[in-house]
Amino acid sequence: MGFLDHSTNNIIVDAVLTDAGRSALANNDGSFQIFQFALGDDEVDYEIIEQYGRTVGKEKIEKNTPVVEALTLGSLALKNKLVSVNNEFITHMPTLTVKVAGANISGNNIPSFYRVGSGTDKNKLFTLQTQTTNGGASIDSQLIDSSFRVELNSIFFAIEGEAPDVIYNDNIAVYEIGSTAGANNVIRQASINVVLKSINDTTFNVYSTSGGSSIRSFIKITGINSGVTSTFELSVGNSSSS
Amino acid sequence: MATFKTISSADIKTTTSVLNQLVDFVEEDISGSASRKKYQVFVTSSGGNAITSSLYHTVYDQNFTLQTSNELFDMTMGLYSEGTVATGSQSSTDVNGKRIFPSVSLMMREKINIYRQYAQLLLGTSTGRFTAPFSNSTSGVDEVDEALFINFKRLFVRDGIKRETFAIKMFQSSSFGDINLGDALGDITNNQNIIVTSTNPASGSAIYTDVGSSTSLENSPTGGPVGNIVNAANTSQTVGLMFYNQGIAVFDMKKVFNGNQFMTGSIQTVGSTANNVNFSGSFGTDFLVSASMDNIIDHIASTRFGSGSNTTITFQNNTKINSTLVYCRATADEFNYSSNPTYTNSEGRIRVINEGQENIEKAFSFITTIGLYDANEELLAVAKLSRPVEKNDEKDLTFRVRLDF
Repeated sequence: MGFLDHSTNNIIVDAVLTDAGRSALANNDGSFQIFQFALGDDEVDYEIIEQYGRTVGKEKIEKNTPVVEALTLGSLALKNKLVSVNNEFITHMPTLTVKVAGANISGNNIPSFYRVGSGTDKNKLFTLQTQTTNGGASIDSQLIDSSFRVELNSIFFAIEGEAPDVIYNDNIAVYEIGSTAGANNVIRQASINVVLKSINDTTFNVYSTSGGSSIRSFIKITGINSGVTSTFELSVGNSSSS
Repeated sequence: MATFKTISSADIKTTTSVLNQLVDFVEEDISGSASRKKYQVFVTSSGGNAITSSLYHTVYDQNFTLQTSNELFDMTMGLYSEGTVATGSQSSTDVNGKRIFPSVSLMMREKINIYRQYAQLLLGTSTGRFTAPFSNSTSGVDEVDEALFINFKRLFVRDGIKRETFAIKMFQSSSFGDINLGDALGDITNNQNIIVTSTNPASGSAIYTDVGSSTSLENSPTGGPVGNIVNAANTSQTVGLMFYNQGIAVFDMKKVFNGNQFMTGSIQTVGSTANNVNFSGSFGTDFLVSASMDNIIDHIASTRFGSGSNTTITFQNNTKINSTLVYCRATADEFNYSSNPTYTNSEGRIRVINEGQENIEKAFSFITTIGLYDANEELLAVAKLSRPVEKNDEKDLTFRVRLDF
């Protein structure tokens, strides 16, 4: 995708149909009905504000942030949504943590699945939690997530007991998982059992990393009201003993 | 949900606009044999001297065997069944009404049938006769009995050719010489002017255009909007018709070409051991009768359009664009926060508000993307802004997103 020309002061809106939009039009069943909109800021790095201050930082974002052209892939076209909250004094957003077997997922703690195996090799219980910092500011009620949106690759994974709301052309399946109230600094939480699907040798070899012996996949969790998002890697190996 | 906003029906409008594109075709694409495709569907009896010919040629923008080539237009010719050229060369009619032509003629029935096909398509009756001008023509002068047809491809015509934008440059005479202008028969015979040679370029170029057609918006019952093509140097001389929505130009060959020019050269013929004979005769009455359609189209394409890189045909097309305008309105207290991972630090603190300034500074966000969703939150269309636009609680923004179909 190229950058859009922003050498003029005009705000140019370059709109394209996504693959889902084209599909809805082709269906000719009235399913192409624009009902709502969302705004996004995928290209913006707000750390610039922290580094340069509000005045200079804003200017740097406005003038020095090239915007890429629109993507047609629905799962990638608008990743970070802007959030509407009817409270202009909010200073904190909830944080989202994802745990497996009680441990936070991080760069050093990637959940590993194995296609040849059983039990936790193929099933893992994920706990999704939105939190406030211990002793930190309280979270506005409008940012409390009644559910989480979970996106993962449907070729490899499914969520036990749930059916995807939509599967995009790039095989990303989207689930909406209801949440319950948490205790202490946990605002809302939900649990999902991520199941590794059966993967044959051919599929494994096609999708495994170049020169490696595992598949790298990703799971994206989004709070439905706060919009807070976390994306983590999921690894699929051949066998836990190999 | 706090990240989506419903769009009211009052904020969705539809509109139609017209886009015009300038199209031009260069001489060498028409004259070159590599960029002109033949479809040899006409075959004479399977004797040892059988010949084949196309009914039309397709002109490409480069060598037509290349996958990247684009079809520009088709070119063919036809004879009116009751015109003097057709009736004058006819020897008899058989019991079924089939017209019989002598062996010195070739493809006469095909030439007549092509004319009938265009007449049926554009005039509504296969026995119709083109006249240029389309209306108020003068009998005996304006009938298009020997027609050159050019069908521009839909890729370039789109929804139609725009009136008063068409122009074509053609050479009225083939290469050297014209016995009527005093050139010696020996020179003409030696130079074989059916096929152009570099030493004997065509002459007498004229530009034909549909200038003035927008002042008289005529329609054909089955051909749609039609306009007259005139000689740019003498607009009172009408030489053809342009059917705008069909993308078809019809030229009267006796007007755009010198019908009396003496032609010499090799043409296909049945009954000859070599399948070719040396022909000599006038363009209008002899060549159009004796030559195959391949020979005639080859001659016109290679000698009447030039062979350089200059533009020889140009027009503008019309493309109707139906648009949906969606007004996405963000009021002052909407979309001022972001779920961008860089918007907060590891503690969830919003980065755009400095610590200690919470009562003074308020959050803001930047907009780069607008997503249009259906009721199931499925992303149907995406619009990008050319630069990030700040949104804060003092700004009420409306984005007009245009979807073209």
